[in-house]
Amino acid sequence: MTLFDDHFAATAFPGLLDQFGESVTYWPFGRASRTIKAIIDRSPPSVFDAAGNAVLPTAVIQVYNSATSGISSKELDSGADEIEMILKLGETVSKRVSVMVLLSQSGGVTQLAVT
Amino acid sequence: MMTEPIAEQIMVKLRERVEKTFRAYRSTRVATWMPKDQVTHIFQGNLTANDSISCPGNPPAKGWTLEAAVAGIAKPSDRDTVPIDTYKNRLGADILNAITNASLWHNWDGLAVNTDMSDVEDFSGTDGSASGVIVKLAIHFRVSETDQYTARA
Repeated sequence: MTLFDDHFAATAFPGLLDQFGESVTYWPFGRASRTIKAIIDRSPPSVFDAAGNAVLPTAVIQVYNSATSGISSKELDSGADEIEMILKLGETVSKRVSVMVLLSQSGGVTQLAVT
Repeated sequence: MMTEPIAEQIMVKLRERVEKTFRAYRSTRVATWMPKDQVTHIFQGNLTANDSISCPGNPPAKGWTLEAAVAGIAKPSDRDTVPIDTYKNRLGADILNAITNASLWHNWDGLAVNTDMSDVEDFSGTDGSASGVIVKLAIHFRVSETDQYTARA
């Protein structure tokens, strides 16, 4: 990680998580789940599904790039890992969604598209 | 159950056959299924007039060709060392095997006259999120010209 990554992760991102974060459960394939805090952007712009049709991805989430308090980009398996989260604000039952792709891993933050 | 048009009845049977081998989904308006490894998405394209199989009569029988497709997703673990094309080759073959695993598979229990296997197309997400194959079928069926819910053999 760069010095900026360290500083952003240590000083800026915790404040953002405090203000905008909510609890989700990360289910790494074949390993125990853990509850972490994430900033969730629900209903981001459409992407294309396997068939080439436009679909609405469930969310883009941002978490610490950490194997304890977030999701380490090194440990992430986008082919198999899942996230359990509330899909629509106000709902009480959370649902497991699939990690589609690692969008970015800079600033001490892992950003994922899930659907 | 409410009677459905012949094209819809064929698509239901297509999903049922693929479901015996893979998890198979047809999307609702807002898709709720997860695009994961070995998951299939069943969808359709145009319904094209096929007058080469239309027949005179009272009422006449109208011929149609339904473009149906089964998309298979190959999204193995990031740490998998097997070539992605190996998974795609298996997916294409296994989807075709699932579709044809029925007596007189091509006529969909009497709903269709014949089915042609079309292309097995490759797809790869530009963002690296998923890739796989799309198996395409051309399903030829006939209905009563005055009733799209009634198949005519």
